[in-house]
Amino acid sequence: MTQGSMQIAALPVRSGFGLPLLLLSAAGLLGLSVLLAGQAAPALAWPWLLGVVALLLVGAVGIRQSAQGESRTARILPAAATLILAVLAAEAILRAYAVPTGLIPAPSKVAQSLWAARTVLLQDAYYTFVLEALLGFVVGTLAGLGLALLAVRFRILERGVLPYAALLSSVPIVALAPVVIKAAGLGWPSKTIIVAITVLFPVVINAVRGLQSAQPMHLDLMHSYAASPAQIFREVRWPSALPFIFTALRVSSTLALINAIVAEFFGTEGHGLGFRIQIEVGRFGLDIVWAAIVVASVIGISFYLFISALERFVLRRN
Amino acid sequence: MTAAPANLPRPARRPSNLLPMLGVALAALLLYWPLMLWANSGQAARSLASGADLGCTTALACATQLRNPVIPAPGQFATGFTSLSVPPLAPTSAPYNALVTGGETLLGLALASVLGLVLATLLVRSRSFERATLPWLVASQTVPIVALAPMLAVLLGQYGVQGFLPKAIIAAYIAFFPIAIGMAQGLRSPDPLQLDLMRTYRASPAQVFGLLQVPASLPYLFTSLKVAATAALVGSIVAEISTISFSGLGKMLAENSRASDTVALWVIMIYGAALGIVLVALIGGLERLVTRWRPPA
Amino acid sequence: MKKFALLSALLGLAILPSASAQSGTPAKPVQVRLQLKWFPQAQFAGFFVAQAKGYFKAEGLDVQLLPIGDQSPIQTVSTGAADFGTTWITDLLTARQQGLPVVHIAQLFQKSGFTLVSLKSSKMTKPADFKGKRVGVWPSGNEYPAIALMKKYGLTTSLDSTVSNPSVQAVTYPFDPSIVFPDKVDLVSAMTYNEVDQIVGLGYSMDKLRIFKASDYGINLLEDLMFTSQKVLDDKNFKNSGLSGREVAARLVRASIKGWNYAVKNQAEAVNIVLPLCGNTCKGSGTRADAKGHQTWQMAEIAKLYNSGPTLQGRAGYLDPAVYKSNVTLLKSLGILKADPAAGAVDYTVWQAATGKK
Repeated sequence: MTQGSMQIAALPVRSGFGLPLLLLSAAGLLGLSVLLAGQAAPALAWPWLLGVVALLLVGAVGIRQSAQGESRTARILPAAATLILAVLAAEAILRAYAVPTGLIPAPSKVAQSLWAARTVLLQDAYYTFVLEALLGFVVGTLAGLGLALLAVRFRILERGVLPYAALLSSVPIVALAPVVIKAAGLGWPSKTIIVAITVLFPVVINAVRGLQSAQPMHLDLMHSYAASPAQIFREVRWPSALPFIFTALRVSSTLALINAIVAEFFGTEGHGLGFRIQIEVGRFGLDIVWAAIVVASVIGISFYLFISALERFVLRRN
Repeated sequence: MTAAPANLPRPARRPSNLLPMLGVALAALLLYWPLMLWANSGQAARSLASGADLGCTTALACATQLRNPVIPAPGQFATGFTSLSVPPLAPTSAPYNALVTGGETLLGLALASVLGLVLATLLVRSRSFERATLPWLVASQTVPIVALAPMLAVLLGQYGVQGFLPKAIIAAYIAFFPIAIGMAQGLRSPDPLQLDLMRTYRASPAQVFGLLQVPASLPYLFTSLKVAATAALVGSIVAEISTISFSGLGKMLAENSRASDTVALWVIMIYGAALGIVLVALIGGLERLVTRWRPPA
Repeated sequence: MKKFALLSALLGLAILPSASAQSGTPAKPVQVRLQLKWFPQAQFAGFFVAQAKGYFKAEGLDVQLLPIGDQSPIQTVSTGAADFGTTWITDLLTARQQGLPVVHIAQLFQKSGFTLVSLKSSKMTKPADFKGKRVGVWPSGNEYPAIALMKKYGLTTSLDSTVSNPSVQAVTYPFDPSIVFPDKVDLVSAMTYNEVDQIVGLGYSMDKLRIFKASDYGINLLEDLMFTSQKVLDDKNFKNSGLSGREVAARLVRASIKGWNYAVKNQAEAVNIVLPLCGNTCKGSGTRADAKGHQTWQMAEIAKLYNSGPTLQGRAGYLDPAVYKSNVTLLKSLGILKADPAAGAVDYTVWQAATGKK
């Protein structure tokens, strides 16, 4: 991704057309929703749909225009505009077709419910993210690293355990969840265990691969310097393992939250985003369901970005 | 995502892992008995304390014959396994249902590959497309898609998509992302030198794409397919649980987790694990088959 | 094709006035999908009997009975994945409140079978004692009777997304009481016809249990009913069969009631019809794991819910307006319903057409 940006970093900014078009499109879509808010349900839905599509096309041109160049706006604006236009378009279409909240709630309704239920949703997020996903992620990572170190130190262990780790990493967690919850109870610790298990295997596999990825030349060099095994580990093996470990962590970071939510479908003590989603789906409170999904997504993205930033920071220092 | 590491040169041939693996398996087996007793006797003790009539008097004696064991005793396991596996192709048998789920997952993977390939191509070819959608493609992975599965199934049902297909579509929805990202990485992988060479041959963009970029991306495709396979399997199982289904491991899972049958859940878990392993192995086999053929570069 | 449609339309018209008469079958049976509320078990015996005895076929219907797990039948019916369904009244009315156009067409169970079960040793004797306890509830719209019971006694749970400091801890789990009872919850949800027997199978004989029947505390929220979507009811030509949606609904209700009447009178036979259709869900638990035993018992309990109220007056399938009104009042007073449901939420004409009664 970066190699392209280096080539044309010097091009002048030409997003002049983009912004007005985007504003036009957004204002148009907003206008449609406002117009639709006045009436119950329009007799004919398709003219509205046509309007939405036309405005989206305008928006698409605007996005294309504003994506030119290497300025900060050219990097951020297109993505932001895509989201905003998509949300506005969904609002207008759902209103035009008068889709009931019990089926698909309009974004405005979701926003209202998100605000109304914010205390409870944050409480749920605390259980699902902090106690289950994050704790499980940390435990799984530490256990994985420990196991990987042992496996590298004792070859017999690597040969005996690693193949199983590779096999077990392809086990679907939904098959695991009922059994673990039966064994460890309905409280949050059972979900933490499930997350830890799912994080463990990719970390073990990648860490072992990483620890062994040190170039033989570097190792030889260290030997010829008469470096101690600890030094070799610190100076050569560990740094070369880091990129591999972070690859596993990045992938696991998004999976940790999702797995915690899925695991909650198999039993909870009445807390958590998964619990909330499950309960509200059954009550057709899909506005709350989507609000919970929004909360989960924001947390998930932030966690992913945090791990990515940590990765860049650590790798730069090494 | 995980594409790069897999591409490194493999170390020289090592001695077989068979013996150490057997050793570990043996150790696990030896641990299983005390672990089972420990896990079950706690539950048995609590049940006895609350006045349950279990047909046995001490917690230790009850541990091997609990009706809903935490970890099934070997005898229970054997009975449960046989009753769910024989005859293998009966509609209530786990092997048959695993086949159904496997089929859905493979179809889902095929759909996801097509979608992933299209997206990857767009990502590589159009910068504005990349800028407008890549952050949301990443974000879509943080959405608990499984929570959407029932709704998605309902929406698909509205348009008459029923039975086998919604499961495959949900599987594809979960699996397309790793494939798209892996493919995009792969399509970008040829180094500038090779691209220059193609240009000196006056290759058309289509030729560069077909003869250089696509072959170069194959190893990446297979690595991401392996990640995607597990994801797709989770997707189809969840879809089976949360939509109308008459067969599949997910349906068995739903049924048995409602029917107090812990032993059956263990058996299904093992079948699910085996299915995941087989799927990844299948892709590995396909990879060896395809990479044996080298494009005329 | 068109001729067929015309023919069956004429046939449909011909039998419309004589509702209870032997129906002339349309040239081709009409494909109907009926969404059950659960996996096959004796709870739905009437439908399976109607299927096995050919009552549906006699009405010119080719009925497919769909199982379901976690999802609500409302969703499959309101989106057209199924044409008709069976569910509980609270589920139906809350869905209606959320804008889903579903319509009640027949009431099969006239009494609620919902209970909360505790061990006698836990010393709870009345709902007010639930305060500070852990209560096991089922998700997917099955939690309302428990919520209603607790709300009536001023207790709140985390099931409400507006309550951040509940007085009762709600525990959700996948329906099987053995996962939580008795060590992880003090009270567990149980239907008289299913989980109560499963708990007994766990080793707690009836004399060790205290059963709080929701209906004993004035929470008689009606359960298994038949419903469909407004779209199906208004359909002039249901799936090009030449029959109107209303007519198809009436035929389905008629055949179902016939099946139900047969099932509760011939319980052993009904159980034998259900058993081969079961997966693993027909089994009980522990000592009472035997599917046949559990289903026989379930059939007997189901019969009690069916043979009550209007059924005893020869009006099986009829929704007693007084009971309906009290259900709505209860749900409103508990805040589960915000307003009276639209008049169209219940349609009596289908039942009238099916039975020829007023």
